[in-house]
Amino acid sequence: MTRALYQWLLWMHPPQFRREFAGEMMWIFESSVESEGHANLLSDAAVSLARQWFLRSGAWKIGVALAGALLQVGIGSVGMLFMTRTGVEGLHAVALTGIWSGSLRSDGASKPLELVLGRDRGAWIGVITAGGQPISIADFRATTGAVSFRAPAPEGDLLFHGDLNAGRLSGTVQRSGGGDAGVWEVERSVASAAASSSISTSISTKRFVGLASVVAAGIIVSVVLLALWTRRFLWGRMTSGRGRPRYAISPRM
Amino acid sequence: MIEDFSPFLPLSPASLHILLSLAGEDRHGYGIMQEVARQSDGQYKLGPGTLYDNLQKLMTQGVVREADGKRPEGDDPRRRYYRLTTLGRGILTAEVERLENVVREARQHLHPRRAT
Repeated sequence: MTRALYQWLLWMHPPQFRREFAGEMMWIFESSVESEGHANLLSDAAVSLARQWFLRSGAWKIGVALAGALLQVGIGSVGMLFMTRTGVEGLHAVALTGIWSGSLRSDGASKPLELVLGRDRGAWIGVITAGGQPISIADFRATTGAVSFRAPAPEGDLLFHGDLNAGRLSGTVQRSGGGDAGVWEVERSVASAAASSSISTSISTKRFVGLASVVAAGIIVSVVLLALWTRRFLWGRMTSGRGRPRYAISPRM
Repeated sequence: MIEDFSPFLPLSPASLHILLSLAGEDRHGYGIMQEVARQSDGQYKLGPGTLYDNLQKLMTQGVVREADGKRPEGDDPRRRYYRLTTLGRGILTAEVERLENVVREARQHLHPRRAT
């Protein structure tokens, strides 16, 4: 049983080490198991196994690369959080209150527009997104009875004027140059949570893509740095001592 | 010619004992383990894992090599014999000299001569 376990530990060693030394180690095990004891030999083989994989085989480099990648993920997450801070805060503010939401059903903008409207500490707040991307709203005015705002769009600013009555917001959208650009139909929302969550999801997806790019770039940078460090410094340290005082002597032949 | 062995120094205890055990004659792995135990009066024991990890490193550095010679009759074919190279002998000499300096220095500080 112990012999099989020892053999298995040897078999788990890196192939090069196993090919070179496993036979001898097995022979030593058989020769010395009575004097050395099973536990000592097994623990020695287990330590050797860890040392071979983590120190000698270079597997530790993968660990360092992963740690570097995780570091990049952390930095990237914080960075992306700051980058999308405004939009996220806006949505949170709206999500805290009863909200109205809806979408523009016209060709008034190059991307589908979505509106989330709500109240925060008595003040009306509107968040409008184009293709999931929050866009700025100018001249936003809202009272209990009426809502109006201006949203910049590539084809020309969109001007919204609507009425808010009995839980229903409806109104018209016009281009700043004139002409009807469509109709907002904004329902008081039972479905508002879903609409809000869909906007959040869009932003989260965008944030994830941005985050993934940062992570990918981080991994590449980590691997390159690691390769340079390993080649130029670590390898040099491994083969040129550990920074101890230097001695020059004449070898005695 | 003065050779600089400083990149190899100081030796780890395991490496030092392995080189010391091979200084007198070629030995196989188990022989090295036994010799190390004998040299240290049983105070320092090398396990096979530690031994071969160090041997692998020393062989990569060219300090130790496998001995090619006549094997004793009836010897287990799994046994391999190891030999100190010229480089290894130089390193061992340098390490011993370094240790002598350390011991001399330690003695001076531990047992300072009284001023007369």
